[in-house]
Amino acid sequence: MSIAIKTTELSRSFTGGGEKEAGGLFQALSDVNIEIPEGMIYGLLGPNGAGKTTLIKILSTLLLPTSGEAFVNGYNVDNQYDKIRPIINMVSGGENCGYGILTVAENLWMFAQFYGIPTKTAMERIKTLLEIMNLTDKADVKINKLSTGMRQKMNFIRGFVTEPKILFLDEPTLGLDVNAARETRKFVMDWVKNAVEPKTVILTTHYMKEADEMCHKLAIIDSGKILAIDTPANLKKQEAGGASYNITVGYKEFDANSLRAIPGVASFAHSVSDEDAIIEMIFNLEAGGALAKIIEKLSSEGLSILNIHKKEFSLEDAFIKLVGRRLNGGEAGANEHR
Amino acid sequence: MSTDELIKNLRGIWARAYVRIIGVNREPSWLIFELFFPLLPICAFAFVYKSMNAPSDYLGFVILGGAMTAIWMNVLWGMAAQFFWERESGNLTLYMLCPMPTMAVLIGMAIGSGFSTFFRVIITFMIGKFIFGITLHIASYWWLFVTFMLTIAAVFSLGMMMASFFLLYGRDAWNILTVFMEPVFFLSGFYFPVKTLGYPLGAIASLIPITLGLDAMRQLAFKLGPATAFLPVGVEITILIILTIIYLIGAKYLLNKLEYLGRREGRLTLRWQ
Amino acid sequence: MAITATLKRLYKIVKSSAWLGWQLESNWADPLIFAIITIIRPLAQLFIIIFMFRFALGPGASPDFFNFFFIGNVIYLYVYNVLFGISQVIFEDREHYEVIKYIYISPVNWYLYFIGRGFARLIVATVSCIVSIIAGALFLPLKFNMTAAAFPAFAFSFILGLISIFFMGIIMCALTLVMARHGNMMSESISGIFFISCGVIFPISSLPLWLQGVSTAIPISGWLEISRRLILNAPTTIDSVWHGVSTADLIYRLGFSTAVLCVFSVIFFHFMSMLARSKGIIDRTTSY
Ligand SMILES: Nc1ncnc2c1ncn2[C@@H]1O[C@H](COP(=O)(O)OP(=O)(O)OP(=O)(O)O)[C@@H](O)[C@H]1O
Ligand SMILES: [Mg+2]
Repeated sequence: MSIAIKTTELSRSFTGGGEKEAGGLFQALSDVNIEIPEGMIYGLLGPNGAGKTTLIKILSTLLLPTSGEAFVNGYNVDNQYDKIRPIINMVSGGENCGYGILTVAENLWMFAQFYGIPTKTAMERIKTLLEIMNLTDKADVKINKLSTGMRQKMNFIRGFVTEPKILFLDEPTLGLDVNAARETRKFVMDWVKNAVEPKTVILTTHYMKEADEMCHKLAIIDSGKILAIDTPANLKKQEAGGASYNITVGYKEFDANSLRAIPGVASFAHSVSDEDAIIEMIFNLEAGGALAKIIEKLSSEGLSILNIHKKEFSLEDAFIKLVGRRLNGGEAGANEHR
Repeated sequence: MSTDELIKNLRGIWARAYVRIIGVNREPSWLIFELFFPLLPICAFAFVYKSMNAPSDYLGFVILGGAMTAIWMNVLWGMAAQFFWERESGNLTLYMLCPMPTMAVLIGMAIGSGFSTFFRVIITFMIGKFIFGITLHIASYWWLFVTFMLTIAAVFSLGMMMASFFLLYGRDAWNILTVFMEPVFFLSGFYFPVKTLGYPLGAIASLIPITLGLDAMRQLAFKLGPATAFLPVGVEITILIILTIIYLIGAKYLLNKLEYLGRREGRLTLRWQ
Repeated sequence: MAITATLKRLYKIVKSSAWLGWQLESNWADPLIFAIITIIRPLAQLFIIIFMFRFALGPGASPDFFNFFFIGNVIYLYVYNVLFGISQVIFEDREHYEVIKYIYISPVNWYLYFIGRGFARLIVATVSCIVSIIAGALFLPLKFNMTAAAFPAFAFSFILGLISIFFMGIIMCALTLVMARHGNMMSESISGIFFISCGVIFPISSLPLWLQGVSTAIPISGWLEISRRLILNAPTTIDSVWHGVSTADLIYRLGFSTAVLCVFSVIFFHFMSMLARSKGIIDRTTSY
């Protein structure tokens, strides 16, 4: 499998702008090393100002790095941008494009022309994409009459009309309603999965669910640094250690320490509810720890098990652990019961 | 440039020009204003000459000059300030992103504007000619047409250069437009032959191609034209051609610079500086 | 008690509206840009006309022409700046700053807001006026000799004139509310129409007869004629349409038409803003 994107020690600083650091330089990206194989959806996850957009701008030839190198499809973004541009496209959420006086179809046609796509091909693709995005009835409406979400959909289509080999999506579902966002996500996933030639998508998002659902691989980024790169499943696993179970038992005296001593249990906590005459127990297991031993022990103690619930670790847990805070504000663990 | 690439670039040019041409037709009220707008000073200044009992050719000079202001207004609003609008609307980023050279986009813009301006100038002139009953004395239709086309080409080349220049060094489209309206109307002799300014000032004014184009056209279209000529028509046409080439090269150079600085500083893709 | 409270509240609104207006208007208070607007533009305009006269009349022209157009042109600076300034308020707020919806829903009073912005324009016009007078004194055979006795009448007509253009500006704003981007083109055109028809740089008597009737009905025409007579200390000017009308009569007429404009503009603005709201186009922007 060949490499779609590769960066080595990629850094970018700005003069002024963001918070001033030493020498009036603001480091938006520092020493970013990533390698993205072809044919996958690669997510960039990070809080506001982490440097996601900056990275995307560099990769899409809109911004030069201050040091380090970046290669897109093997071409250096520094000086081979004329080779890169024909095979990429970008959609940033929340941004307008096109001219209010033109219709949706005309605007899309115009942008397709800038990629040298023959009118006939362009119109066919536009038609298909409008159908998929449920925008067919707006094809001949001037875009200054569209709602924010419709405009966003059009912008989204603009990214696909040119059938790029590598597509950058910067918060593509911003401003879309739940349904439209779901359709959009599905569309992107199908587009990558069903492609004849391998397609690569680099996606930034603030929605954990979106990242979890869509991305084959995720880079967690904060303050311009990459903190972790892995599949969403591995990130969750790695950060959470072993599994965790909530077990409800009928009320009875028991010895907490003996439960804590069960092999494979990393920690144990419980709370008693007098009202319902039940005890809520939380077992956090070490990696590879087994549930069977716990059940065995509980039965031998004569506790009747009413309910067992496996607690799923979310990407958010992993994120909090890495970045030290929630994605959407708030301190780590502020409303966490663990 | 290979043929394939050339075709691709032509597609881009056509697409951008199309937007311009269609845009005007979509909002007919806009057209009315563009025709009507230059007519106001035309009438005001024609009446000034009339109140002084000046020869009717002088009214003709004002009408031709006034009709040509449409070109200059279009270059200012539609070209020089265009990159400001494009940046604000987010399109500039997309232009930089696409494989099409931005020069093609710029040329498309100029062609689209030039095309619609061409007809507007003629229509405005005809209306003015009708209102004030001017008789023309055309020395050569062919050369008049050539001069007119060359003037449009030269002025729009200047406009292409201004587009990048102002985004690089300018502050705000609004203010730029104000600086370059009346002073140019004065310097380029829109309402009186540029010869009246005297040669040193006239030579400076000639950097704005409309000055010489207008002077040549007055010579070719009016009986009293040659009497008030600034330079011979042949010389003026030659200078127009040279200016077109210089401004096109300048436009290309500044655009490259703009793109490079944009990528280095990361400023051009920002909406508000 | 209640009255002082009301007055206090009113004062607060005046102050904040005028302040907001001034802030937006002097947004370009960059010295260079200020110079461009107040000096370069009006001087260019002045020189266009001077050179037209030179070209058409040659060196030995009568000073009457120069005095006539010069006073017209200087007073017209106020018309242009205030009228154009006020009439652009809506357009600029909507398309340029994109703040119109926020102003619309805020408790500031529109008229006070307009006054605040108009005031900034008045200052601009005054600076341009001074610059033009200096240039005129240097390049033109001017002969101003206004008497001290004429000054109160001059000042009174001047204020009446300003008030009338303020309300005309409001009428144009009302139109801009329901028009697209050409809102600003419209106000440019209207000040252009006034420029032709109000006898600013040439006498109304050179216009076609049917136009003369319309021209004399526009308050600005009378205002210019009053100013010329008082500044030049002459009973009439070269504009023969006004022969036979006394200066006092002209001032009464100006007062009456200002009152009519005031009433009409308030009603019209109210009506148009309701219309804009019902059509949902208060914050519409246009671009292509
Ligand atoms: N042109 C610029 N000039 C100065 N500073 C900039 C510029 N562009 C970005 N920055 C700074 O670089 C940092 C990273 O910005 P970037 O836009 O990449 O963040 P992001 O991860 O995309 O954030 P968000 O989630 O809010 O979109 C920010 O602190 C920002 O202020
Ligand atoms: Mg971002």
